[in-house]
Amino acid sequence: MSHLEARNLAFRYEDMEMQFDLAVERGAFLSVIGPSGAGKSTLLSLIGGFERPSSGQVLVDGHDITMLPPAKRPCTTLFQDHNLFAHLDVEQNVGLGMDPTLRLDSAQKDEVRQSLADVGLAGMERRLPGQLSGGERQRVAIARCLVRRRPILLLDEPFAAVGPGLRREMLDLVRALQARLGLTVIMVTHDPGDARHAGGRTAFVHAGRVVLVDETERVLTSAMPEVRAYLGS
Amino acid sequence: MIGAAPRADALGADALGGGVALLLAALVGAALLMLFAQAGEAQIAALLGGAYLRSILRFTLIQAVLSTLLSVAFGVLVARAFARERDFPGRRALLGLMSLPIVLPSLVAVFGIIAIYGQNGWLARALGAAGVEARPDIYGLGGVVLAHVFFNLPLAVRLLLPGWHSIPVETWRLSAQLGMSGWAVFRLIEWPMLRRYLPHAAATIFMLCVGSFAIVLALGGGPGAATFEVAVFEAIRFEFDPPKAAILALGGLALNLVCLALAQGAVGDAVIGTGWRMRGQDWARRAPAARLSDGLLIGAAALLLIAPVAATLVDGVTGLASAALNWTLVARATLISIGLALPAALLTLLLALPMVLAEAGARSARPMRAALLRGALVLPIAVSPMALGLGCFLILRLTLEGLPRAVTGIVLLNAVMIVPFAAAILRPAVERARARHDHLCRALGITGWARWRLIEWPVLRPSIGTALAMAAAMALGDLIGIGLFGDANLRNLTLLLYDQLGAYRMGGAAVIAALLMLLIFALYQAIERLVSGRVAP
Repeated sequence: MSHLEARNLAFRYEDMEMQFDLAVERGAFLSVIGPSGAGKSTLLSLIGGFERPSSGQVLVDGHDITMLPPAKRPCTTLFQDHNLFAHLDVEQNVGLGMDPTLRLDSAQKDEVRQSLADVGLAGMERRLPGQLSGGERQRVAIARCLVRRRPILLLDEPFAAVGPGLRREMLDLVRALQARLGLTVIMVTHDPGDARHAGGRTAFVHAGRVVLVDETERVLTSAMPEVRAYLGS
Repeated sequence: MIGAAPRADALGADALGGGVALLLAALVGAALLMLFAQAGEAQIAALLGGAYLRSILRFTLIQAVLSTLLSVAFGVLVARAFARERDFPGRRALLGLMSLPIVLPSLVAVFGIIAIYGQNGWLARALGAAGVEARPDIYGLGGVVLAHVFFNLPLAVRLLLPGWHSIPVETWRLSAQLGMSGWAVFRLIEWPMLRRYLPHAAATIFMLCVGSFAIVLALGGGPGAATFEVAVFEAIRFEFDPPKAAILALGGLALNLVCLALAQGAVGDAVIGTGWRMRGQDWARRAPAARLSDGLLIGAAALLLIAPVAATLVDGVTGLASAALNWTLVARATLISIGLALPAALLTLLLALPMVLAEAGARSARPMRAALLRGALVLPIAVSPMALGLGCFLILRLTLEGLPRAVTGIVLLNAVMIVPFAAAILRPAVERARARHDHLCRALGITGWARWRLIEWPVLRPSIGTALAMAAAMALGDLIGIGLFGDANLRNLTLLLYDQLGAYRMGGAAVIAALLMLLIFALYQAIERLVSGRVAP
């Protein structure tokens, strides 16, 4: 049994009919690539619970979570931006992942500080998001994903706003955390280079469907016409 | 088994907003039913055929058409001048001045206009000093139209300027590159834009002029010169004839609904624009003559707005010693004004905020529900203030007496009437906050009170402060509520000003008008500072 499974997950956006089938093993790193408008982010929103499918199911370890609100799912999502509340400081932003009412005991506060140290932001607890760089802001968001202790991490073009060098660094950070904590990661990206750097497996989404899932290198070298057209080779 | 959305978390706020909307709708419905019950059939028939109704209708439409034409024509020119002159010192302040009429009580403006254009006004005196004898008569159609232009020219500018801002910078560059003449620019670029923006602006202004109350009451100058609003007020205050007032109120309501249909129901949002974003680039190097004409237009508009306000302050301060005023009465009226305005403003917020929050929450998943909430939020504008006020008056007459009745009526009426304006201020902020934070709050399970305390309140605080301050300012200018419910002992500053104007005691009127203006300014500042707090970075 797969860890996470999307089964006949149907969704309609304006004129576009989408239907997704996808299975991901526990502890896997899956990149999702495909042309813009193909439905990559929608797929992630359906798994995360931000969009409601018109039919179909999302299963985790065989349990149907299709009807659960986002906060009750065993997933945590890192958005492209706006991951932080601009009026709350770094520690509060991470603390919300421990307790959405922000009433933390000292053990919880320690854990928040530890997770900030894990992403390389020790000592930044009192900063406001506006005082951080784009990369640092995403690190704060990753720290919050950590304290939420969800087995599935969903990344929606998480590093689109940071430069190429920093991107690699962030990807390596996510990979390291994943290995340490045994997370299952699904990352939507518009850059095949991200997928290649991350390794693992890759799903290719085209016109509202997952048309190919395989080892990343094999997907990127696939002879499938849609993939060739997307990669421009 | 896929029916209910996974969003049970928002239920609390949704239910609250829906409940408030129902309450508001019930109040308006009850008020209208009361009017119908009061207006007997025989009387409706008698009045419908009568000359009185025809004369009201005629004056209402003539002044509204004239006011609208002048406001819009002048407004197009001034908005165009502002659009072309994107960078001169004081531009922001001048555009800010265009918001002044929103919080300035009509009667204060009426006094200012009399002080400038009246028989012994500044203009007449200046002309006299230059050797020209002039005795302008400000009362009647001319004065009413002038006052309406004072209030609606700024509105026209606010409604039309976004039209110019909607024209892309590239269009201007292209027109410069192609060497288009001024006329060609107007015909090919500006006129097509205006065709989209003008109808809404004109219909909105027309509706406001048709429903005009205090200006016509104070400047109309005779029984023939009345709108429905004025006629209702006179029928209840001077004749105490509820059936007649009810029929007139229903007449005004019908006319209001026709105008609202003209304005395509979008008035609630458009009345208050949001900021003046610039594109930051001059679109052409311009000829000195064109710049001069722009400067003259902007200067004329500024003078039109500033002169009455300045005259009020100057006359008020210089007349302080000589004014024959009962100061105990003035002090009492000041306290009454504040004492009624603050609860009204608070109630406005308590009504508007839950509805705006629920509307924003329902927008994507339940568009029908969002539309209903939006409808409830503009309901008080759809129903004319006087019809709603009279309806409330007739209802409360059955249940309460004396001071409790008066206070309840005034606070309730003002709060409800200001709800659409407060909603227009709150909505953009609420929607922006929701767009930014909703996914995140749902992802983290931040709900209910925690969401309000940690997210909504800190983010919305500045807008809530502005809404509350504006609501208090508007409630301070209340004349309808106090006129319907007040008595000899319950008189606010506006009513005192009305009495002074009615008795042609300009010295006293000057002092009260200036006092009222300063009070509004002070209260606005105080509330905004206090509530908005430090702005979140």
